[in-house]
Amino acid sequence: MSDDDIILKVTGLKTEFRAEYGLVKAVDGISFDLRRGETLGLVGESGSGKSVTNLSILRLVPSPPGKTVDGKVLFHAAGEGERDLLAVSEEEVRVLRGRNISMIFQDPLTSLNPVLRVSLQIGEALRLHHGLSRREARAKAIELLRLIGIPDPERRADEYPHQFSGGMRQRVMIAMALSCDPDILIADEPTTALDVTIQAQILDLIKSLAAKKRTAVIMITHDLGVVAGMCETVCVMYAGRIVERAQVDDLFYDPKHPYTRGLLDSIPRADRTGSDGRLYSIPGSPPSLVGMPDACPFHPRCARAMDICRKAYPPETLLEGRAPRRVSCWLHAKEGPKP
Amino acid sequence: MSDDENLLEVRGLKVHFPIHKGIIFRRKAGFVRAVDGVDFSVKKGEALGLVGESGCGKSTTAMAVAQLQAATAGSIRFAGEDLGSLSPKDLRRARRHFQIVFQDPYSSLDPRMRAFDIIAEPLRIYARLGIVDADEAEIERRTLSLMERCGLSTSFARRYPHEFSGGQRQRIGIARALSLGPKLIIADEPVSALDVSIQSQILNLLKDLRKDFDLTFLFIAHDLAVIEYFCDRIAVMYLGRVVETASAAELNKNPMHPYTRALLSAVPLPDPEKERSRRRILLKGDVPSPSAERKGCPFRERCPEAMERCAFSAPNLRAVAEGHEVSCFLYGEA
Amino acid sequence: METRALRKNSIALTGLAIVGVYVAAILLSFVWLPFDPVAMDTEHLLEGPSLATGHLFGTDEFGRDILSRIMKGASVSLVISLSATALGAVAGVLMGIWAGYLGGRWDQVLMRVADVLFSFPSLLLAIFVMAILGEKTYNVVFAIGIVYIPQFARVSRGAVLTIKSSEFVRAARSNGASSGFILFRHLLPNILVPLIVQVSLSLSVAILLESSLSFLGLGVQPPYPSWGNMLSAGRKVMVIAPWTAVYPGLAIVFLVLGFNLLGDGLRDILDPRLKNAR
Repeated sequence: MSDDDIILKVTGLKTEFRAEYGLVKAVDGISFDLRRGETLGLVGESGSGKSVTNLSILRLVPSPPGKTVDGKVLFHAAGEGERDLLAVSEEEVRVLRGRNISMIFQDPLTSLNPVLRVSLQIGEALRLHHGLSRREARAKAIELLRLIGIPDPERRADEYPHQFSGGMRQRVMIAMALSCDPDILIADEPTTALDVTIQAQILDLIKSLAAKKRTAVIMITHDLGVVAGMCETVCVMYAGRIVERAQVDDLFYDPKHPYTRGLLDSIPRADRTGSDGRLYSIPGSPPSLVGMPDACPFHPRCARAMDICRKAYPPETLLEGRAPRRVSCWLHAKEGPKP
Repeated sequence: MSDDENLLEVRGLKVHFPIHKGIIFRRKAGFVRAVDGVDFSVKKGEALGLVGESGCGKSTTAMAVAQLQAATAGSIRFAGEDLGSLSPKDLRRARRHFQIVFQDPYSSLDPRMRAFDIIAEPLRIYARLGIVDADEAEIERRTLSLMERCGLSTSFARRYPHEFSGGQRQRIGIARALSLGPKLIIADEPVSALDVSIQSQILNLLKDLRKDFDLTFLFIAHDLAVIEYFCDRIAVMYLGRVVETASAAELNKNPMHPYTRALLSAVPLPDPEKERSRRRILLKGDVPSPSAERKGCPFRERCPEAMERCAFSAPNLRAVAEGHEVSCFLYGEA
Repeated sequence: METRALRKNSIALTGLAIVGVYVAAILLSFVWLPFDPVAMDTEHLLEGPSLATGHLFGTDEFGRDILSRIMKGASVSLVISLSATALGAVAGVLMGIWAGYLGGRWDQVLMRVADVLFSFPSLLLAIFVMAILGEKTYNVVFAIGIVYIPQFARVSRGAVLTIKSSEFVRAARSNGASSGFILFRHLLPNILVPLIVQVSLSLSVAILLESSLSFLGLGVQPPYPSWGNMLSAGRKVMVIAPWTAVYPGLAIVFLVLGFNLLGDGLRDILDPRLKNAR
């Protein structure tokens, strides 16, 4: 794999929110790479900063109170030069969103305009970015509806969002997101509001469509099961930082960070029964993101916490293996804290 | 199996909600058949899981069992008594034996009451009614010891709900449910609003309490993995009916109903290799509306194995092996 | 954190202080007034405020002392606004809770009646009620109270509906709580916040309504002073003697402000979500 393959390079991204009770460091200096055609999982519990990361990349952080204060988001489209999404003009970002980078959100009902016909909404992006005529856009919309497995697409194209079920609406969102053949699809908890059997349909759809077009996908989720089935690479987030990033097999079969390990051990597993034993559980709850000291944010809950964990945030350490992986934990750090 | 072993017995339970049209002149325009003929029983000391997707009627079933939702038809027998036939006074007396743990740790606690008062309230009500013999000192002793037992520091007793995290709030809800010393706990999605790391804390707590207080559970969840972890026996619901019941191990090893199989295959496993090798059964379409009048098997439109006869008559739940019941024509007449 | 709680509290304190000044003035007016508020004095017609004459706020076109009339009028205004709000609140809240808690047909009927009342502008409705009941001071209380009933009914019904469906009410029911217990223990405390906001708004609007009615000649009848009829009388001579209108007007403004600040502060103080920021 060459670095040419990297389509999105995020470095040192920091986003803060000014709240009444102080400064919330929602995303506190995170870095990761996304390669062409790769599916990357961004996994963490609520408040870990995974959704804010998504918003920051697309410059959609509501401001005020939020602000991306530092970092680079380098986007490298095929055949074009590298651009820092945080530095280009508002106009340029707007064009990139939708054409090169698309999003799907958790709640498909609020993401669709209730008073516009479905075909019109799907076709909108096509007309905007590809200059299709109204008729062409409608034809393309019907074709997309068929592609995502909506029965009787000619009739359904003229219906309104409330006439669609939750699963169908999410499929429409996916059709819209993929209608312009984007380079990157960001899916923010796309199946959290859906039932498992519908979730399976949706994930299957994302997977097959992305594979067909070699779209890179950032999958934001709290569900490690979804990550295991969908992603090649995984970033685990905790308290606004990425604590571990690795290939999916390495992460699941040999987690290095105590948080990742604890998380994996806490999940009840449908494929293992008869275990009379208890689940592992990480004691305590995630920290407040206000006024965090310079320390590992996980140390109060960590069974293997050492003195140093309370004194400094661990550097990201590159571990060699089948595939290179990174972990931010003093257990694996190669050097002590800088004085 | 003799009947007196069953702590809870639900037979032919139906809960239909009328749909009204018009604002000034309201008229009934039909029914939502949220629960449409449900049978199950829970033995003393057992944990029965009700699993199914949204709209399958599992929560409505739980609320009907808890006597918080009137049943349209059917009977709910608790410790041999038909709860539906009790006078309001007797029902009040009986209520302390079955308590609920709710899903939402935010809306289930009165924001204007302190943690201590929330947990003590049931005892105070029953003490005032003269059903439970406890003075304020005794109530305080019991409440504080319950807080401790549920993993809440007693120094938090005077705090308000908003000062607790989601997991701690759920502990308050659990302590409240235990304060009257119930026999049956109806847990309605008790962990689905919580993060993974908190979820396992609460599941462990419930498991410990179950053993220590000798509790029987009716455990409702949409997450099959959670149900399988916690429960001895599982009833799978679809569109207001139970389609299959079996022990947790049996259901996992040998799921029979096509819906159960699809459900099991759809649950994502946190295991990349298994995920890559398993074959998913993808169901067509969505769950049909529970308000439509229907003939035949409720699952037939989405069923990969639907036969001609499924359109004409609905199968009944019937035992196909020891402790394994399924309602599907694939497994013979019913 | 503490400064925030203090700042919120100081709002309530300011409001309380303003209302307190009025209450003190009213109490004082029972035992002592600078002048007789209804006695005419042809020697001192439309005199400007002056220390020398003792008419601190000046005199009106009949030579009556404005300050004395404002003090006397304060008790009228305050009593009317308090009792009208109390009437509207008690009747409206009962109606709203009844409709919200029981639901069904009663809810429909009660709320449609409220809708009809609600669809009239409040002043128009008050004028209508006054026209039926007759121009008596105590009828002003009824007129304003009736205007308030649907408003309080709406607010409390809405709050009851939200709280009724919350799980903690279900939990209380499953714990054997009776409807009455749930009402007083869980519903009322939780609808208190929207109610207090409504009460403080209503108190100040009642002052304005009473003044408007009196201004139109429907409320408190001359020669007895009320802020409204003082304004009404002052309007005619405002160009040559602005104090006749300005001082009653300011009296209204400050009391309305006081009630609003008090309501705002009380809401924060009573909300445990803000209280424990200590």
